Amino acid sequence: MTETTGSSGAVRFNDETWETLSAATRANLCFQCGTCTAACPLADNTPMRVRMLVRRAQFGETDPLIWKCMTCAECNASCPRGVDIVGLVRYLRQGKWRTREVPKGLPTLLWGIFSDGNTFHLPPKDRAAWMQDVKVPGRGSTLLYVGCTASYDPRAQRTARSVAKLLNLAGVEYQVMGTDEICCGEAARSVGNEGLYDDLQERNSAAFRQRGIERVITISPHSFDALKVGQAKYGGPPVVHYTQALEELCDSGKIVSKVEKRVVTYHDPCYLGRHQGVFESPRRLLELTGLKLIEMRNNRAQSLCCGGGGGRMWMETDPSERPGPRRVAEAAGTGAELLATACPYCISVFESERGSEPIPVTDVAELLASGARG
Amino acid sequence: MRIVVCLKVVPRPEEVKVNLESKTLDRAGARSVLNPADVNALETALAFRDTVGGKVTVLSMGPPQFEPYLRVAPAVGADEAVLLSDRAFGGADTLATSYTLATAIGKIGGADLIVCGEESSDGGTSQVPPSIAEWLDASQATYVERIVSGKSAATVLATRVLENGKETVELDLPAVVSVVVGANEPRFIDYDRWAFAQSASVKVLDFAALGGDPQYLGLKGSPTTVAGLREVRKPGRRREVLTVTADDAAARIKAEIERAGLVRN
Repeated sequence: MTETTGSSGAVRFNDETWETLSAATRANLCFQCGTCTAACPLADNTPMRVRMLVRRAQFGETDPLIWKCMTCAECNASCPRGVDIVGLVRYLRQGKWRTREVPKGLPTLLWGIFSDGNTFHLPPKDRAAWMQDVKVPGRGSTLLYVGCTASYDPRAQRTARSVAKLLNLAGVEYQVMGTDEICCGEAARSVGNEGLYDDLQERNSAAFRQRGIERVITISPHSFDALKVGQAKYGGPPVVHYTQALEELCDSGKIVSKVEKRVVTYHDPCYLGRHQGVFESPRRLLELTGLKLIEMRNNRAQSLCCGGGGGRMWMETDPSERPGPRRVAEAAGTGAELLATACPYCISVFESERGSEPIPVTDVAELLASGARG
Repeated sequence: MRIVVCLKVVPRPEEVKVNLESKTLDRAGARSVLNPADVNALETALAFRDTVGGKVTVLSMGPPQFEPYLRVAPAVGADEAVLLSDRAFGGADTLATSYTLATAIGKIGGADLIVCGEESSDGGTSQVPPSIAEWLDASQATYVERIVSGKSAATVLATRVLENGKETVELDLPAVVSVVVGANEPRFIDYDRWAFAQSASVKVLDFAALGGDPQYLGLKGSPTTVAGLREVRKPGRRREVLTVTADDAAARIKAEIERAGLVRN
């Protein structure tokens, strides 16, 4: 991709780049109907307009507001022409790495991933700290891939322990990579650095092969998506999200869980739902525990992003532009006693942005583990 | 502009053990990283080269297994990488290290500007950059955060971070500067250059290729001895949980600070 900065200050790319870009994303098919802007959760509280972003790309320009995008894919889901707008955003961000016009802090994030193998700038030797009292069988060809957030973030570690405990209860033979585990590359890909993402996929693929892994279970939907897409390229093993793996174990009677009867609503994480099409597994798990599930108006493919995707976890977002509070309010408005979800980013965002909303936020695996017996 | 950046590969601080008997650091089993301040030095050099033109060479001293770490430099934009590697260089203190680096700078064709990190995260002496300047009889500035062109092509302006402010000095070239850690946000690897960086060979110079006076090299050239070593334990944190309301929080915290004698009236 060749980019030059013109006298107007707008970054322009050449025809060849446009050919590649439109072949990959179908951006040439956009007829500017604006459905994407109408669907975009940022349209009413930020200046970013998805339609404008695509239009500027058609004229060979990169909209400087591309960094606001959370890659939630509401636009992709609504586009009548089938344009891969999320792909377009990632592609345009890639160009920005070449001209070194990326938001402050993102190079540091990538250096951390490159040298420490995680997004937290924490020592690799602490990566297995999430396990605490959990004993892992350390056998078999199934890998529980924990990911950076559930390895290091104390709140998300609870989710990882819950999933591990449930797998133990069901007698599943599985491994974890402990201090050898490295980042899945989700953060690198979402901020547009395909090079680092690809490098991590290759390294992960080699590590999976060396351990004889035939199936990967992830905690985060972001790892699920990043590894599923990336491992396909390197001939890696199939990847599932933990909600899918636990649903199988419940169906075969290996896990039975009953919790106190309460009313719960479920938030679809973008990368589990819209990106990977997993809508029903988490809902079934909640219902199997005896919880009463009620839906928010924006559910499944219409779910509203928490604001943490697309690298936004590592960029500052003005409070007036954060979509999280609106989503928590929507959840509270259903009258549910609990807001359940299945993504460490969503939980982190909702817990820090719920403000005065009293609704507790929890993870599907944690609910399941709280009432589980083998 | 010929720019040399001195880059050190250091063990991860949290993985190093101190051997109290031999008074050395036990690095076995510790993974390595590029010294953080040196990465800031590299960015300073690349940014300056991008404005004035020229060539950036990274220079390091260490065992052959440091090569992959040095390959990162061409991947972010450096033009070449040189590694000084020979048993004869081993066991060097700051005097012998600076002599070896200064000799190598002469050997590879000299430099107008030599950019180092302020200190290494393992040694932490900050002595190497000024010592290189002494060996080369070059001008020097320490704790620099930025370099720009000087009033003539024979000088550069270096902004130093001092305890009570900043100072910009004009340095005659050749000059050695040491860059403060965190002075800038280093650019990330350009994966379009990654393949080039992997295939580009790191030029390795051994004792035979370097030359120099063996009296000044390695352990033999190192007058420093570690006289003693003791463990310093971190003082325990004193903490207390105060149950307060928003209205009286400030007053209560102020009272606690005064009670602990932390403020002078």
